[in-house]
Amino acid sequence: MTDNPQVWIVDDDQQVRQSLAWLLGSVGIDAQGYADAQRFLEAYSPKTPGCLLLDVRMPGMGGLALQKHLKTLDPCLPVILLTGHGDVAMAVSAMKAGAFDFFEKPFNDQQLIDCIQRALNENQHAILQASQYNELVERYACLTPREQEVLSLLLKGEPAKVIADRLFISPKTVDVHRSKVMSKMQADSLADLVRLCQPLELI
Amino acid sequence: MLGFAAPHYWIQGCLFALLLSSSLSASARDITLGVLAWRDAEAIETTLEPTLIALRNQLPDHVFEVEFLPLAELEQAVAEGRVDFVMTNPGHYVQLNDRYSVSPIATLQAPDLDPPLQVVGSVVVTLAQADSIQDWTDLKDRRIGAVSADAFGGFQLVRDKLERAGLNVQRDIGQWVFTGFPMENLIQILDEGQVDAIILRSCLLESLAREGKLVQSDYRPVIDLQLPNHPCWVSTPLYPDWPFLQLGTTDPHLARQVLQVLLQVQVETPQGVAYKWAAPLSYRPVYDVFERLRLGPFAAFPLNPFAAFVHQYRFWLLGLMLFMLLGFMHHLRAEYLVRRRTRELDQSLKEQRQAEAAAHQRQSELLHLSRFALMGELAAGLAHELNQPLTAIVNYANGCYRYLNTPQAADFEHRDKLLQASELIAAQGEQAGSIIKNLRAFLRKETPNTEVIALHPLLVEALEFMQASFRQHQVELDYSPCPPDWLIQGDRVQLLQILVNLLANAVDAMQAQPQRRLSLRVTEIQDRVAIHVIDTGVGIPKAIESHLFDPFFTTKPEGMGLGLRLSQTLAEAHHGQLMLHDHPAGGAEALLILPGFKGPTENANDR
Repeated sequence: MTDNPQVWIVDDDQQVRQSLAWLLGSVGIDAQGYADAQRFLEAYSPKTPGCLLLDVRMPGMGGLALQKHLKTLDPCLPVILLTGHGDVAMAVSAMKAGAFDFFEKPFNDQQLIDCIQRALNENQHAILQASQYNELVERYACLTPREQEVLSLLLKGEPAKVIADRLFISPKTVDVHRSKVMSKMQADSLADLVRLCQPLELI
Repeated sequence: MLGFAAPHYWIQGCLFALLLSSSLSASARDITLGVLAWRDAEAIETTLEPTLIALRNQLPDHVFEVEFLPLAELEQAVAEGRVDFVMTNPGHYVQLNDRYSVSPIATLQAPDLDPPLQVVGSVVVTLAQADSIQDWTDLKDRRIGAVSADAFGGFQLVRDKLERAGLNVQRDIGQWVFTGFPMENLIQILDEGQVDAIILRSCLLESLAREGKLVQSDYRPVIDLQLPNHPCWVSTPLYPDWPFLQLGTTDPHLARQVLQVLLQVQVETPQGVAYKWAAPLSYRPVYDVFERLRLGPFAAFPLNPFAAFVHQYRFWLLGLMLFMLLGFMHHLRAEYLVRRRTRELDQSLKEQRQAEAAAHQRQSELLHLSRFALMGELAAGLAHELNQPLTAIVNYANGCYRYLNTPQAADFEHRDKLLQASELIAAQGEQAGSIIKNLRAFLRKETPNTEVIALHPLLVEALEFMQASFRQHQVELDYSPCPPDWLIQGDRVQLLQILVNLLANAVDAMQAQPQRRLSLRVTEIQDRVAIHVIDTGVGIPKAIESHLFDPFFTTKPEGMGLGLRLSQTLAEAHHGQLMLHDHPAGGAEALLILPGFKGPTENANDR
């Protein structure tokens, strides 16, 4: 949502690259073609929202090898594999390696476009989730150790009196800590706090 | 023919005293008389003295010289004309007559015979008590004494009789003992028992008995012919006595004078022994003896030339026959060996031809299979190559359709027709794509017929396929056999296709090289086996390195460019890899890596 998602096409056949870009352009998707894995890696910066269309068999670094490499760079990037050889074994290994989908040339344009749209959406969603999670982690990091202890007991649903007993402090002090936690974590209510902290898996 | 080497005791004698005394009263005319030295000088002197005295007395104008010469020297003297007259034995006369112009003018008359006879004969004498010797044949294997092998009366006459009795004087007589002259020596060796019998001139024994030198009854003739008018023991026929010969060059007048003197000589010696001369007798019987014995003039005419030849050269002939026999046997053996070798060669040639035919058959089968696989690969390659442009066409058409289908293009002229055309193009493209997809599905490699295969026999089989090619291009093969327990899993025929293809590539790569050496190695890389095919070619040019596995890429004029591609596809179907790179030692190395494992060989049916 931040900026326009990008589609990268890596295929050694220039005509296939250009035609794909043309097709995607017709539905308003910005696509960029690369002749091989090396050139793509030079242009690519991780965490950029987008989707990769990758030909399996290429000179130099093969499609599957590039897919594996990208997994370490950016696990969120969806990879759609294209092949001229409809090879069941290859499809299976590609999917196992975490490919988003697998298309055999020549492909139905609607199916491919739908698939790309889906991949872009998922990518955006994943990026968003990742950014929300990061923010949450940052907020949590701002809490003092005592406040973190109070938070974890609050999430377990303990009343203020029990918390005070556990931590050998007065219930009043617990209330002060609780209001600090609520403001630092930017939660409106206790229910909101519990929902927010779920991805942190503190319980 | 007879080669007796008996020593001759030639008597060297001369009457110098007589010659000197007579030469004083002689005229200038010298007359030389050659005499065969047959007895000791004294005896000859005694017997000839009356003759010489008479000659000198009757012919005072001449000086008579006497030379006592052995057979050969006497003959030499005759040949050189150094003598005017010759006295010799009948045998020698016959020999001389054969070669020189000599004629008898008188024949010697034995002095001690009554009536006197101009004859000579031989007698074989043994001791009186030796009863076992009664006939010629009894002399077989005996030791016999004689004066000389050349003596006429002392040997040749008896030899004649022995041979006519069927005895061979050389082989059948135990031993010949030749004492040489004088003949009296023979009596002594007979007495001493050195010999069993001796050959004497007839009448010698009687003469000696008369002189009181022996007792006649102690001896006995082996054969006594008891010839009439012959008072002595005699074992052989009688022959004329010594002739007095004139040479062809002798003055006839002188000869007449000498003859006159000879016929008148009649002198009694104190011993009562003296020689007289009479008219010459016929020497025909001597010729007969010589003819029978093949002596003198008849020596050149052997009795049975062939038999004589065979006998004379019997050892050589035997040796020759043996040699020929050996040669024949060698020939037989060589012939046998040659035939056997030829048979073996034929057999091995046949086997080799059969093996070659079998190898050729298998190679053509594999070639056939390869051709099928290549056709599949060709179609697959075409499908792939066509798939790419088809994909592009479909993409462009779909893109067009979408662009035209947006609201911005709503007022575009002929929009509907263009939309329809774009849709049709995309549809037709997809139709073509599906045809290709179907074709590819049909061509798709069947799952390899997997079985467990021992690697070593597989490699050997692949090398056998290439054997003819190695020979043709004189490629030196270096294969270090891989351990027998290394196994791989896969389709035998497809694996063979890969290996044969790699080997053939290696051979092709080395064709222009002086040294053609192909190394086949097997190594282990983790749980996989690596088969290295290393050649000594030029290696892989940098320009084509990235295209090696492209379909239809080839550097060979007659190649299709699918061999490596097919090999790679097959290797991948076996979960393996095929790589090609330059070898550090020069040339190229093809590396085929396949999943492998180790196991007991009996599990690996290599068929």
